[in-house]
Amino acid sequence: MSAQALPPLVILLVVAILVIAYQAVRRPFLRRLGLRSALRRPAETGLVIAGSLLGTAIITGSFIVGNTLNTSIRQFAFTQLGPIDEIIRVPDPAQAPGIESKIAALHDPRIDGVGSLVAIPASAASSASGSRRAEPQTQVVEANFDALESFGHDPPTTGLLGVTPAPGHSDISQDLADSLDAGVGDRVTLYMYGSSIDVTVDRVLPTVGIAGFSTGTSNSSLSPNAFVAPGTVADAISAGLPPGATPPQDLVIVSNRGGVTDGAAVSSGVTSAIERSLGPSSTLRVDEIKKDLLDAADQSGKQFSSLFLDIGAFAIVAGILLLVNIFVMLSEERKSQLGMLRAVGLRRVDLVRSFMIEGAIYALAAGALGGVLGIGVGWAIVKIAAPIFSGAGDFSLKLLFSMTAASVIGGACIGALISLVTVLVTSIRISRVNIIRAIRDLAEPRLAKMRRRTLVGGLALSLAAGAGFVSTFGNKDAFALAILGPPMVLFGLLPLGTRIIGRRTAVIAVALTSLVWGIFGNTVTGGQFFDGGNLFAFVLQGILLVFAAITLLSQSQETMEGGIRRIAAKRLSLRLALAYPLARRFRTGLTLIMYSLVIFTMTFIAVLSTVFGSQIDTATHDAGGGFNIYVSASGSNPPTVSDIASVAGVEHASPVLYGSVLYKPDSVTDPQPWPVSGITKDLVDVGAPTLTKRAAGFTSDARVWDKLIADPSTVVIDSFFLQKGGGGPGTVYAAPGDNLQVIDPITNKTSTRTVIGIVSYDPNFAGAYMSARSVRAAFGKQVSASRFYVSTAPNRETAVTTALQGRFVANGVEAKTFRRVVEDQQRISTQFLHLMQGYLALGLLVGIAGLGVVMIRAVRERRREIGVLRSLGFLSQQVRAAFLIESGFVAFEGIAVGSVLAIVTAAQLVSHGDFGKGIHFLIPWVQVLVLTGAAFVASLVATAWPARQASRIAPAVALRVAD
Amino acid sequence: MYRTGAGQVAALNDLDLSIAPGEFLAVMGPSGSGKTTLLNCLSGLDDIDSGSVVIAGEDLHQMSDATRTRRRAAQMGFIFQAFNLIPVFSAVENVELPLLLAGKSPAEARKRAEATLETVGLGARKNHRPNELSGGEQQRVTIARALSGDPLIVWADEPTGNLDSETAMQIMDLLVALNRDGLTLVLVTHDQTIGEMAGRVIKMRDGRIESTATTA
Repeated sequence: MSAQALPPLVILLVVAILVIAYQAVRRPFLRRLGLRSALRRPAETGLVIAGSLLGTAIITGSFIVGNTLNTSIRQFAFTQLGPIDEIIRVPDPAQAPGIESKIAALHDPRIDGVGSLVAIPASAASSASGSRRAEPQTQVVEANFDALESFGHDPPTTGLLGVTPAPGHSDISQDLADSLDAGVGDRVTLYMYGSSIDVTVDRVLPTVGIAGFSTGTSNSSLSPNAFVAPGTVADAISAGLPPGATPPQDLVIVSNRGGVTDGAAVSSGVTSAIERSLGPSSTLRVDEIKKDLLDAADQSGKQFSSLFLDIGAFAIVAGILLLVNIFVMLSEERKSQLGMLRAVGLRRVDLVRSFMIEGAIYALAAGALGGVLGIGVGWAIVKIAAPIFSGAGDFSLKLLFSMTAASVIGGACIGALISLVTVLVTSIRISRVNIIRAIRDLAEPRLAKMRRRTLVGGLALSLAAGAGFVSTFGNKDAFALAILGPPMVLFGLLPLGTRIIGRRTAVIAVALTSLVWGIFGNTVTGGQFFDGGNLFAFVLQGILLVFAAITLLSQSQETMEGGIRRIAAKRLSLRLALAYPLARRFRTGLTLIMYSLVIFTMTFIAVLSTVFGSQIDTATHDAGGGFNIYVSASGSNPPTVSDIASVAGVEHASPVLYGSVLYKPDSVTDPQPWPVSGITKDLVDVGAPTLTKRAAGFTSDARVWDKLIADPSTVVIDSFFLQKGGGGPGTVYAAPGDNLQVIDPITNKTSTRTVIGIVSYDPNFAGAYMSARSVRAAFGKQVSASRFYVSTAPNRETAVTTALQGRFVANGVEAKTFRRVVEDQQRISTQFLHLMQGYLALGLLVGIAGLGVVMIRAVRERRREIGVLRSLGFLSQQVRAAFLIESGFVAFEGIAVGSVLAIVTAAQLVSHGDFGKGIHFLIPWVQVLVLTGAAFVASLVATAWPARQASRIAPAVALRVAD
Repeated sequence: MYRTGAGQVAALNDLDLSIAPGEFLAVMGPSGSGKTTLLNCLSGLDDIDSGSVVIAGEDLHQMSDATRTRRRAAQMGFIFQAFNLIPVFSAVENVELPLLLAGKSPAEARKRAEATLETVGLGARKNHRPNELSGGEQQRVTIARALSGDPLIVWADEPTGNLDSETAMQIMDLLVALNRDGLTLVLVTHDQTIGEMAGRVIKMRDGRIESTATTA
């Protein structure tokens, strides 16, 4: 959570509390009533607070996860950039000194360092450990240590303490040392531009600043750098540039005044100043690398925070329902007292005030304690997530637990405000008590006549919702209206329907239609629910489905009641157990919704996890098309396609031009870096990756790929195009039919491409596909022929990958089967989904604890009735059994509704291709049974104590004591 | 003995009381004299520290809680001042509870419950829940519940305390009629008029029987 968002929250909460406090001071009677109600039974007050604080803990925990991701990614500013704030890629090394001079001549007080580097992709190998180890993603860097040590006026942040390596020597980064298992004094061979250079390691540099320099274009979190003497690269290239290789670039680096992260704040101004100094004719591009990295960190933090908050929303809603349920129970327990208070002159608003004073105590305590517990929740998530993030190969991230005061205080404030609003709304409903009926404990009559204003209000809601739905139909960002619009139209028509066909029939019709819409609406709207990639759509869909299903169930219970009573006729405990939930439908409905919501999400994620985990074959085919191995090589020294094809077992090899370029769809302000893959017709002929979406007019994937090869103005993007943050569905930046600008990052040359398809799965980070001709035209030599799609004879893929990596060490070749890459990613995805399930288990905790709280209150509420039953001859065991059966019945209904809805919804989404084509639906029966069984048993355990208390009630005492 | 924060209070003391089958005994006395406690101890709802309560030759307080509970179901009926019906059950469901507890089949229990409700004049209101009935009707349901299992004895604690005088008299007429048909009835009341309808009245003070009087 950002610090800027905190003051409004704090102000809002303080104002709310001040208003309540003012009432408490001004109305001593209301104060006494509210305070004594809250403090009369400390144990029950504790339960209410316990039930309310989990929502706050989840909110706070989500914010802390965001803080942690933000801090962890921001760490790259220290480890991979240090004082570097901007870089300018200079294609001609001779230009670099002139550019440095121009920038220095600016004497801009915001700039405190200018320097240059040469950084080229290479590969390295060493036998220092006894066996030969290679690092194909090595970066060879030429840097003048003497000049750069003081770069940015903070030497430790550069990591370059000491002297520039002499020819034949190298300082290597800790990451490269780890990868090669090499240290000081060891010999390392560096391969670039077709030549190899043996160097002796002089020092192992910490992965800090320039020593850990990485532009992040490979998306790798590692910095396997080898610093060599100036001139080494020029010597290597003296024999000429190997075919397909990218020429070396000089990088002019600029440091802004301020610390490692502070300097980025003036990046825009500095960039403008530099651009002016370079002159209007310059095509060089100033890359605000630090600012972009910090922005990406903020974006990632927000996305992960939002991801956990969205998933946690189910538990938060469950917590709200629990609070409503508790207050409804409290009001029913105090019904005659409320009636008396109204009779002696207390106004409705006074009752609300009294409840608000009581509720404020619960809300503040739950907010404060929830905030503290949220730290633990956040810490636990980070602990569990750390191995998942660190085990993500090239994309690994070391999580550094971090939290801000804004997150903890903000989480606590939001939790307290949610509680206060819940209490306010519930209190208003409670305050509408009829005095006589309350005092005499008479049943509330059903409305004999629908009020005119209800009818008009309903019709207005229908019209508004209908208009909103129609006007935003097809707009993927208007997912909320797509999901809730039609049900709101029907809800608004409910008063009219009640007049015409009766309340029960009308409610059943609305609930049933809403349920059907919740399940099939996404397909009907052509994917409008989820196409925007917003996870909150899933939350809304889940809430709609569960509310509709439980309403339907509650209304149908009259029909079911006869059957249930016949079944229960012979067993008094069973009859008693079922009588209460069937009679108190509103309260039972709240508990069921609370329970079903959590079970729905947990089952849904379990099903999806299994569905995705079982799609290895499909995903492998989607990613590889007609190929089974993906080969990446060093951009400075790639093998030729004929070299690759010559390896025994290779049936076909297709070269791919690869590099990192800039894209600017209309949806972004600044161009964003992303990989490009330039492919040839023979890749398409053998089999290109599967597409998940095609532009209008294309009837098959093959036609899209043929068009791509034939038309250089077209592009096929991947489904995560330009999404840097990770953490679940992010922003969709471009769709089929959209135009986007593609920009050479060095020359700024810009051209336009039209998106004609979206690849369904891109595990190798191939990025956007264009024809090789199109890529050459747009980016010239800035891309290298360093990727290859390879197909092998059946069952030869393992042997071929081993042979490729062994034979082309000097070329930095990494060969992986598509299956292996897919399996690795599926493993990470499954782990992450399990983390989500674990997080959702917090919601289950709310549900189970809620059921326990409800049953504890039920024991108190029914104390007298228990006394009567005991006096009539009910055994204490029967009383206990009745409570356990009641809890089990509610839990069973909640579990059944939640799990069935989840399975049906997942089946619908999967079978209609909402999660990609060719995905087969599977139900993980064992997992679902374990999950639901555990939830059921936990519910019984939660009820065991109140049931035991109920069975121990002494009848004479219960009958004698009124409360 | 009742244990309170301040110490122990002797709720009942030095009591010796016999009730004959078919007798109508009224227990009267000021508030706090021990009337309800006596009723609770006699019916086995409350424990006693010493002494015995013998019903049909068996000491109630020598039995386990489960046995005593079953004995209540089989031999006793209860009528309370606050009616104490189970709110989620309809009138007939409330009335058939003791029958089901006594092991009758659901069909038989329902039949007898309906017949008993007819006896107390509530046959037409059998499917109504308690909060849909008036106070007098609720008390009639309570009486029907107390009678439905053909108990040896019915304990009534201020059965007319929550009713207006006219309804109270109707209820008492009903109870007296039932007593005349052989029902043993022990009734706690403040009301002298109602007390005088009993065959015998004991007056209590400070947990002791102060006087006994035969009225009929």
